[in-house]
Amino acid sequence: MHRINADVVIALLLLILCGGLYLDTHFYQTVPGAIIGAKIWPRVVTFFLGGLSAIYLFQSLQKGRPEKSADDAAPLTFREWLDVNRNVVGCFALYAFFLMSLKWLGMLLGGMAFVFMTLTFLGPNNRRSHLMNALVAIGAIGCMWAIFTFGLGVILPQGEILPR
Amino acid sequence: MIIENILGAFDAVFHLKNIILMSVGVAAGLVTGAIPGFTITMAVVLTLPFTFGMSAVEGISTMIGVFVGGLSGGLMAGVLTGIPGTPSSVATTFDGYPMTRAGKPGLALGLGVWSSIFGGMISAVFLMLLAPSLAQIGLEFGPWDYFALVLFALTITASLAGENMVKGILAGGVGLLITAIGEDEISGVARFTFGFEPLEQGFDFLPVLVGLFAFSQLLSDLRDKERAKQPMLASATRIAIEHVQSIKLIFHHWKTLIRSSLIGIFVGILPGAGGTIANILAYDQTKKASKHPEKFGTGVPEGIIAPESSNNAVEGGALITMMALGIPGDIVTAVMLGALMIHNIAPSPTFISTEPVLAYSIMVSFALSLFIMLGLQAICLRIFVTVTKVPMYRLATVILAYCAIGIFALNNIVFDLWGLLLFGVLGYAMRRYKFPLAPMILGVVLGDNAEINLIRALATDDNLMIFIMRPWSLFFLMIAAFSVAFPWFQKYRGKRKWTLFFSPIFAMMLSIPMFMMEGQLRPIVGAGLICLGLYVLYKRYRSGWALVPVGDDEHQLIEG
Repeated sequence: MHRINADVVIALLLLILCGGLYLDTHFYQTVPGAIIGAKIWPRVVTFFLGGLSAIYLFQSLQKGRPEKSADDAAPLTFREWLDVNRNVVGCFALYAFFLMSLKWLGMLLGGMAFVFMTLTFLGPNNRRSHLMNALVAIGAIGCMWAIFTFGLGVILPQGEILPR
Repeated sequence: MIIENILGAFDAVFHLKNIILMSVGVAAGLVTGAIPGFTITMAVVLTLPFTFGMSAVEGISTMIGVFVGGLSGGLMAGVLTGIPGTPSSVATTFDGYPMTRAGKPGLALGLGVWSSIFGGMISAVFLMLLAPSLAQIGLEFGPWDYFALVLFALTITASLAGENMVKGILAGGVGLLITAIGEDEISGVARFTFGFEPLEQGFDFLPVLVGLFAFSQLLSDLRDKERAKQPMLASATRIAIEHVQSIKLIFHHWKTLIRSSLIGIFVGILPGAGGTIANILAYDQTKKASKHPEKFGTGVPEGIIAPESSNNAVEGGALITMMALGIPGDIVTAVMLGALMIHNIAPSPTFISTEPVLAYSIMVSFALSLFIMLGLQAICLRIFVTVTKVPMYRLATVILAYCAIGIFALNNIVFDLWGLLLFGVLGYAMRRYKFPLAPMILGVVLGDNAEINLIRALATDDNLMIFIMRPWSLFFLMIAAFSVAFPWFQKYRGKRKWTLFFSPIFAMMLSIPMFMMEGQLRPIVGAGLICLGLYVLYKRYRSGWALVPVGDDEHQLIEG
């Protein structure tokens, strides 16, 4: 059990991925008249990655004990891990929510909502900060939206709430 | 012909719009480079979306401006606060900050700025002289040679990328894998899509790049809850730069300037190696060559001149390989290569002859941006002081939103934004588990190139022995093999006997492809390499194969 560490898990996941990718190459059609099939390069890459993953697994198993970073002195419970990574997980979640909401809110409103919510989530929790967050969200996204829409001629997602 | 092309380039670069764009780029680079945690690569990556609407000359000039500004911005933070703004200015802090604490911040900044300019100018001259010649050599390359060159680029990047080279090469392999996703350009067959339709178009270069570098970097900066709420720097103050005194001192230490600039150019030419390595290497070499090495670290001028001239010279070297061979010399040139691809221009050995104005415009704008940087340094110092008072979480959040808008502008497809998120998560995980990102980016940039050349090679002849029968291919495969062994050599140098044979055998092995090449000069170089190898072996034999202990001067590529 002492041999299992993060590197071993990553190496095993990579090997499984390579296996899946190699299997996928069996389903590629062969185009009539083609000298070299479309499967050659994917197989070269898969074999290359698979071989390296095997070396990585061997290396990680030989290392034998978990590689600890400064902030991983003791194994963390899920709750502790979540607490340490609160900001990162929260930002990813809010970003995913922002992408899902684009269809309805569009880039302008969605962007403002994303910036405001992320700032509120990351920053101090008081009325003055919230007001500042709202101003930053409106100002920053409004400016960027205007630059891209009017300056660069990009048609950003409009959303259903605020169609042009 | 060359004069005509240079004049054409001057005409293209010295347009008011272009100069304004470059100035904005330099200013943005100066401020971004000065903020600890925000790397130059991130600044250049974030500039990419703005370049879509520009011409190729304008886009590349702006990005070069950001890069040159970024390098000098890193110097401002390093000298004034002791915290390097970018990994390329780590060594500058060793003597820059002590000089500031000794009450000479204006001189420290002046030395840094002018060393950057002189180093950059020296490398710009080399760029103009070397790139066309190297491109001539590149014309000899066939698909076998190109494929071997890509392999070499990946292995050397991985070998410089940190303690675990397997992780580095794995990262490069994942980069190649990413380019294989989507429809095959020749047959139209969907690959690695698993029936998921949006994947058929593959992942665009930009979401991958921004996700891996910028998105993951920002989230790493935000991880610490308390630090994210604090202003980035509290101790920055306004300073007046001492120009005249700095120039005098640099001319006094002209040997340091030349040596360090040459180190920078050489490191820049190597694929994957960048300013991070160059600035430490130049500092180290200057200290070793100095008559008073004990004074280093106390605020000596050479301690600032060496790292700053070398990290600016890197870019000239990196541009040489990018323009002559289509292989990026560092991550910033990899991004620039991506920007050129967006404009449907793919650098190759014929790049300088088919796109002479653009090629020489790159050289001219590199030189021009150095002077713009000089003019803007004082203004940006004030902006830098203001920006560093903003808490990290505010700046990072606004940039995250900007990433989304910029990425969407590339293809007007929401799927790209999901790609950004996916590669942001992947980049963050890679940083946490110490996988280097540089080889992965190189894999993404060079993946298509590698596939096309391998397919061409196999379509011409399926005999794999050709890879070792062609001189250039054999040359690149050999240095790729030695670059794989290089981390072990570095680790055991001075401790194990076999390291005494590494360099001479490397030199003698390289003579084999040299003898296989046509003409008279290259076999002579080959003979010279054999003589060199034998001479080194003889010297070591005479010393009784004694191991000479070496200091802890291992240089690793920190993502920059």
